[in-house]
Amino acid sequence: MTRWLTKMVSSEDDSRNLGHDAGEFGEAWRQFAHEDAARTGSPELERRVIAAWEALQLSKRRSQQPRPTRLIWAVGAVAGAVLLAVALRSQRATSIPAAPAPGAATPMSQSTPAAHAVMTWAVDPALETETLQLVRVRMPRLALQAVGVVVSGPNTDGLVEVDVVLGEDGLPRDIRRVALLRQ
Amino acid sequence: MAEEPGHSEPTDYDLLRRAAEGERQAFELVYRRYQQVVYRFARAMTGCPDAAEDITQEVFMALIKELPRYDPARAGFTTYLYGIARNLSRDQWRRTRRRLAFEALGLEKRRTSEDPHNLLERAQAAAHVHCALRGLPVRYREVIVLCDLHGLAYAEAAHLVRSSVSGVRARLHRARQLLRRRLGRLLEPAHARQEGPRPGLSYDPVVDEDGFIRRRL
Repeated sequence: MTRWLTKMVSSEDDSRNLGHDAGEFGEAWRQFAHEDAARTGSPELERRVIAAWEALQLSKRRSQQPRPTRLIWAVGAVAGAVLLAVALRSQRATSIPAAPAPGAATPMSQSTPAAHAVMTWAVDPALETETLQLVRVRMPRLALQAVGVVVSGPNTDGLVEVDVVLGEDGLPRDIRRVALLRQ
Repeated sequence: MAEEPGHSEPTDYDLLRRAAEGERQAFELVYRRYQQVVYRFARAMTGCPDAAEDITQEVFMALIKELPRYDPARAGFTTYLYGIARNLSRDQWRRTRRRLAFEALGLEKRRTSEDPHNLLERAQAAAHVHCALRGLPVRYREVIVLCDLHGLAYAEAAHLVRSSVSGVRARLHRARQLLRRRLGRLLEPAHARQEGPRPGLSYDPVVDEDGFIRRRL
């Protein structure tokens, strides 16, 4: 009975919070708890944590931005696609049979082009942004002279064969080639 | 736990949301509000100030990374932090268990008019507690730290250590027993120790880090 009672008391003691103990042990524990409650991280720790947080945020922001290599690839792909589309369209336009341009001279009889080209113009780079058509027409030489293109030569009454670049609105944008036709 | 602070104080939820959006000031407030709890826990568990600082830093980094996964319905924010700190402390302990940490007696420079002798004795007593606590197996140490040092309820501690309330009670009971015994030996005057074993105590149980009890005859 005495042993059982002793055990009960001991068991109650063991299940009590350590801070409630009396005597030397309780005093030591309370002192330890008191010191522990005052403990805190150093200011250096705070600086480290904030710096690590900022580095983490920076890397997050960087990962959200598109990478330069990806951007270069994307721009290259778009440019390639545009060039391909322009090339295909211009190829299709040149394969279309020549039709008389609006306001152009009356159709002339078929004749063999001259062996030598007389003049060419470079295309304005600004014109590449729209869909163009290349149309070959024949017209009197004087009609060409009326629009400001002078073709030098001894025969002023003859016909010329002209490659005209037409815009989407049907108006001529440029003249690519002018060739004298033999009479 | 500052879940519902005063009117002017932003709530934890607000701060966490703002911190997740990248607001530095909000993160600083969260840190200042909870760093002491995390640091104290890590220090009591590892017994090493440097390790405790490293763990505190890792806890807050993990917090920012895992913030989108935090569910307030599952656990309070403090419990969530304790959970991260506990896992990191256990990892740290596994890595450095063979290394003994010698800590100063806590005799930092204090402006006090107290008798230096008393001051020294008290610091020594606290150091003994620290030593005895460090000698406990981790599973016992963590419940002592959570319940007796940090004052957590049994239910909270049970949630943290993934056990039942009765399991925590039993573990705590055993932990207190062991701590009292170890501390009793440390606090015993030197002259009493030289007298040999106390009457009625036939053996002195020693618990190793894995929780096995060994008898020392």
